Amino acid sequence: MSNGGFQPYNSPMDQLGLPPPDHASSTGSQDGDRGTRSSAADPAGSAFFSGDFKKHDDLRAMLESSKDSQKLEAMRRIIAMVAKGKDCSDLFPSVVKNVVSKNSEVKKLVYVYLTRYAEEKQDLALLSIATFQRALKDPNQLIRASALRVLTSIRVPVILPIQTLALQDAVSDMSAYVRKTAALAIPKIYSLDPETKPQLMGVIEKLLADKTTLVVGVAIQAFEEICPNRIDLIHKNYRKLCELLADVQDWGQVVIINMLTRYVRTQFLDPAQQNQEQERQNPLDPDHELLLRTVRPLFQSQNAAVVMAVAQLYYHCAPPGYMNIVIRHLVRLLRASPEVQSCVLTSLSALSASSPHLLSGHLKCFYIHSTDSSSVKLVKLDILTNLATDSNFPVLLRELQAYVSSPDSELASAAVRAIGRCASQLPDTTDTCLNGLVSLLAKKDESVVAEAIVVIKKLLQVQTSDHSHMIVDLARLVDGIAIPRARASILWLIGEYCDRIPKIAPDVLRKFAKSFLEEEDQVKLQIVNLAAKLCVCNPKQARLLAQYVLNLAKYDQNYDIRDRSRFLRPLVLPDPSVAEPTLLAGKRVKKILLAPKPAPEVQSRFAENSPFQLGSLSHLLNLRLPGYQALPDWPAEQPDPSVRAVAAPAPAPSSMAAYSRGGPKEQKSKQKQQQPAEASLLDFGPTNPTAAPAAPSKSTSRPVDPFGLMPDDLLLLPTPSRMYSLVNKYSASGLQVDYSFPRTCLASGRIALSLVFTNHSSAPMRHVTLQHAAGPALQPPEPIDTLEPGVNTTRQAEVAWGDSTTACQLLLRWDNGAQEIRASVQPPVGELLAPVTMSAQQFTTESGKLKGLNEEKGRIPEAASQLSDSDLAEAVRSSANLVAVSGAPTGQLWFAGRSCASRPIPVYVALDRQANLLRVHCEQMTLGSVLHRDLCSGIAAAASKK
Amino acid sequence: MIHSIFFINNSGDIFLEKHYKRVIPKSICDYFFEEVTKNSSPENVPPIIQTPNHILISIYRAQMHFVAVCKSEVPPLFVIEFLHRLADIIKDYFDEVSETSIKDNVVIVYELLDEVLDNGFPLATESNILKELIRPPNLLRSLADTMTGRNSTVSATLPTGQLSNIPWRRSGVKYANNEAYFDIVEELDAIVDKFGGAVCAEVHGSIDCLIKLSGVPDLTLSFVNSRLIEDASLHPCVRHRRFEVERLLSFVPPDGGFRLMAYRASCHGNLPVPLDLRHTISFKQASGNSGHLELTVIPRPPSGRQLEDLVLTVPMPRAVSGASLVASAGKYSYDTASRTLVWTVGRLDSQKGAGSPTLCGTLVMQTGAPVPDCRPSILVSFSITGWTISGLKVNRLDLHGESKPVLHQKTSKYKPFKGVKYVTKAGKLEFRT
Repeated sequence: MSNGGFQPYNSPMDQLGLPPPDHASSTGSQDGDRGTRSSAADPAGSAFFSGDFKKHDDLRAMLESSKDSQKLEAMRRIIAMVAKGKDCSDLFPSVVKNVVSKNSEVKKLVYVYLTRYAEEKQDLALLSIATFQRALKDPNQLIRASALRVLTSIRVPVILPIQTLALQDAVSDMSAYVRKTAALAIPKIYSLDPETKPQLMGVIEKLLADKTTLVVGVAIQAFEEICPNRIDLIHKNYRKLCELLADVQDWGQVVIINMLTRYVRTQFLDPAQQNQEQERQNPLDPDHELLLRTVRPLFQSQNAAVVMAVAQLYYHCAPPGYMNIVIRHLVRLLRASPEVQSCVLTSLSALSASSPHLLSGHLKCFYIHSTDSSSVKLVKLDILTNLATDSNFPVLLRELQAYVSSPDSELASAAVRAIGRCASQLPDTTDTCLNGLVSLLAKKDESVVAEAIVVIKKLLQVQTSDHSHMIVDLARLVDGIAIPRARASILWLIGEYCDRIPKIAPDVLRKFAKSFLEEEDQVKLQIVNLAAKLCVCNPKQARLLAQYVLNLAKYDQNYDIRDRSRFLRPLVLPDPSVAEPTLLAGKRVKKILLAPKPAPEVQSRFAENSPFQLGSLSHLLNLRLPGYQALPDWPAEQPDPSVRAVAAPAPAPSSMAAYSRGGPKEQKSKQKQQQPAEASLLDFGPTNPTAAPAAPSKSTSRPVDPFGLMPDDLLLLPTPSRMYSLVNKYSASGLQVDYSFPRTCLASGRIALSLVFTNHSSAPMRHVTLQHAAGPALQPPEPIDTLEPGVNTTRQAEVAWGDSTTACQLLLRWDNGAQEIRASVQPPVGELLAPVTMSAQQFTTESGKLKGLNEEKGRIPEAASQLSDSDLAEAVRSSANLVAVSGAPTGQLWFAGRSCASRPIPVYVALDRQANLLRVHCEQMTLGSVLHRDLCSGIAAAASKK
Repeated sequence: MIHSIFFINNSGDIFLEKHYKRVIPKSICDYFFEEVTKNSSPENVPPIIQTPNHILISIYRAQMHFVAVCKSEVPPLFVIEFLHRLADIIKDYFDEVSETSIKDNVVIVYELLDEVLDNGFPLATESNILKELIRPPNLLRSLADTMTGRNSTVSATLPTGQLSNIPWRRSGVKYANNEAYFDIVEELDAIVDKFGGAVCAEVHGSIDCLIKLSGVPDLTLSFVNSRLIEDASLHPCVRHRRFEVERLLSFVPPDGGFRLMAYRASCHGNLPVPLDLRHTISFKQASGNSGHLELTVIPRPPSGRQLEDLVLTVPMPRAVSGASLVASAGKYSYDTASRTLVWTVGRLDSQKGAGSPTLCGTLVMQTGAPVPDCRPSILVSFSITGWTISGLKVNRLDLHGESKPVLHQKTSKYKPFKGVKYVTKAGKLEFRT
């Protein structure tokens, strides 16, 4: 602390009469801020600033100082005060001067200060604007971005034109980071003046077209805040959004998925509906399916909000069969923090009410731990009761009974209610429940007993059979129970079924008539009721008692009770002097008082389908909040799907590995391909960088060969298979090894490899061997004794890949082990197959068995339209070892095959040229989807060759 | 989305506030305090509180409430996750989240708050990026700064990670010792009924890493028995496809500590709960006004392993005012304020034949109070090192990218030190009595 020297300056400030700190802290909060709290809020003792306002002058002097360190110290102290919520607006003039500071931290702190106080000191804030305008032109992107950020955060309407101008410039900035800042600035300007909407829409449209993952998330957020209904702006970007989604930051993912949920609901047909009408008919639009497929990996996000967003997308937009996976992932979230748990449980409880079958397998996940928070316990109970079925009931009842004896009395009584709900949901179990509930009456915890009685009352009402012995038991118990609700329930029961217990009922009335004055109001009401009912059923014994009770009630303090007695008296004790009208009533009085009453219904909170989007705040609070966008209904007619077509078909923008790890050598060969920044995380790079130059087409996931060969080169090689490079002559000092798949069928289930060894160096190579290092088993090729310069030799090898495309790691040695290099072979999925010949009819029936999730479907690349049928068939066969099915209808190309594993998996491929659809049927989904992608890229490559 | 954030400690002080749009007076927190007084413990405060014009979404961590104020529709989990992320960042910067650590570094925290959200929407939440923008406090550096006269914790250039396709990793990382540590921690959640049978049991695991590797390493972690992993959540750096197809984790790690994966282990059939408990708890005895308690732990650790940090906690009903017990091992204490009995057994050495420790004695009941009629649950916590309950095991860890042989044998090879640690802990393990 170097402030000692500034002490002398303090005194003049004292006279200025600055407000005491408490008031200062509540400048923004005229409405009853608890001043006491904020002043007490200083235990950290920052004795330095607390209350001592002389220091402000000191700070001012430090800010004027020429030393950066002085300024920084002053700014840090000011910000510390701002953070505590103290008012520092009087320092504004001194602070704003430092906006030009060279020190990055001083500048940052001044920016923070400015955004906080500019609104209060509008005129002074204008002084800083010129600096920002200059900074907007700075070559450093961080400076440009932060200038834009602060400029648009200054809530001063006068500078609106400057802000808008700066925004429009920034949208076309070179740096994606600046464009991101621009997207974030849009809602700020909008909130300052909603009139700017038309201009901002133009800006949003531009940003939506942006292809960087950094920008799209925030652009959609701006879209959601300014013009959430302009769905038409999304059409052109839909496919791009789907593709980029996996790489966007998690926060952006949430926003995009929520928006796309609404989009899907307006642009596609309801998948559930369609299934019923025209089953087997192409149930999902390919674009619709594209989204469902691309979001699926996000279920494994570490961010619970993303998982929830995907879950609600599936819930609202996917065909019903997809829900099973959703539940599994939602249940996983229950392990997260208690706050997340309580939110997810609320959504699950809504699901459990609307479709309990989905959750029935996860019953045990909702068992209550004694450490759960009380709200979590109640929601879990709600879910458990929703899931009750006849089959799981015995288990569930035992569990609920355990809760009844829990020390948490709130849980115990809730558990009793839950038993009651189960009983009314499942009529068969009512007897079991009743017995269980009666046994609870022996408990000492009064609230549990009371709850049990109330539930028993409800259940007896539903029950048609005779339960008089139970009512007798209850009547005996009544003396020991003090809770009014329970006493009232027993009285009601006795009154309702008084004809079944003729001996006891009058006696109970006698006792209660005696204690009438001491009872609670609700008990009194029931005493009056009981008296009236008994008087009708059993006038001989009860008439006098009833008269007595009604008299007492007549003079009660509570008007309800007085009213009731006034109403009942003429009915049950007709006045003999007025004969006619009451006689009429007298005949029907039994019907009036003892009419069968409908049983009360016990329901879960989410019993009726909530209209709100699952997982939204509105859904949680069951209340429409501002800014909530209602989920539209599915359209009745299919809207035009061509709106999503992009003029120039994007050549699979994610052709490159997500992260480029290529050395300079690789980069050269990759030059023609796209920037790695645009790549999708879903598509992974070569597994082993050493092998990267050699790995065969990255087959598992990538449409274009990463090896760098352009499609042209690839097709020069004839089928059976292309030639791939295993070891490049540059990395292996002159030895080059290429391989291809001869596609000869081996009985062993292994895949044959044909290896070509070439010596490009000037010296002969001795004893060249290839050995197995890791991965699937390898039958190594025969060693080559001598490889002369410029000579090539071919060898055969076999690898047991089975169904997996795991890379087979190899060790290449020559010159008696003096030289060695590691390499790996990863087969394209198409090479793991063997052709199967079959008839067209067989094909239809067999492929028909593999539908739904086992079917991978998508468009044939558009370029394929120029290929003839035979070219197309050639393209398919070059990418995968399949055979065409003869007799397919015109316009259709069918292929069949199976995997080479010990248990062969059939694979069927169908191309429908009219519908422009490529379908792959395979029971192993990953294999199917990878094959589909490989085929598409193979076809695209063939087309571009033409 | 998020209008303001308040940090509130357990005594009800608002010790930090930050506004992202117009200033919202802190009197809004009165609604929050109302809920706090309504609920017995701070954990029970509902995470979402509705007020006439605002919604308060809060989390409770490290004796503090982090309260976010929202005005309009926003996915609630979005805000909750964000607040947790914020707490994680603070933890990452100052090694702990606590009121003291925040108050001591209030300026840096405020700068961070300014950087993580812009206009209420998350801006930069990757701690690797943030650390380049705002440097964390560091004794060595502050010394160096004083010497050189440099004095700024704020960077003047954009972190490279922001624009790269691996935003989680900062560039130019260099270590003298290259190390990679993996902690595989599995937690057993189970409820055991009074007859000793498990009502429900689940195993959840997580892999936390501490990676200090130079350059841009590409790691592959494979398991011996990956089919044990059922539902997993992965750090964004993990290549999804390879996990799905080959069940291995291939990733370019962030620098420093992070959670690579969390999973639920599939456990078919009965899970071996590594201890058994015999218990009799009664609150009424034939003679006098006292209850009786007897607890016996029968350890069943896997062969060659030991139960460590064994603690039993019994929340008692209000009527139990004290306990006078004898523990054959460890120590016990009875907290009269919260009415909890805690028996710290510690380590159970199976070799020495410590047998089954017992805790036995009488419970002092409040005079005049009715005899409670409930059955308290016994919460158990323990840990076993060197063993995973599901049996998951790492096969191997391969490092690529940094050990690539470059043309003409000029290599930048390094061999990292690799460490894997297995721990099994009790998660929410309770025995019903």
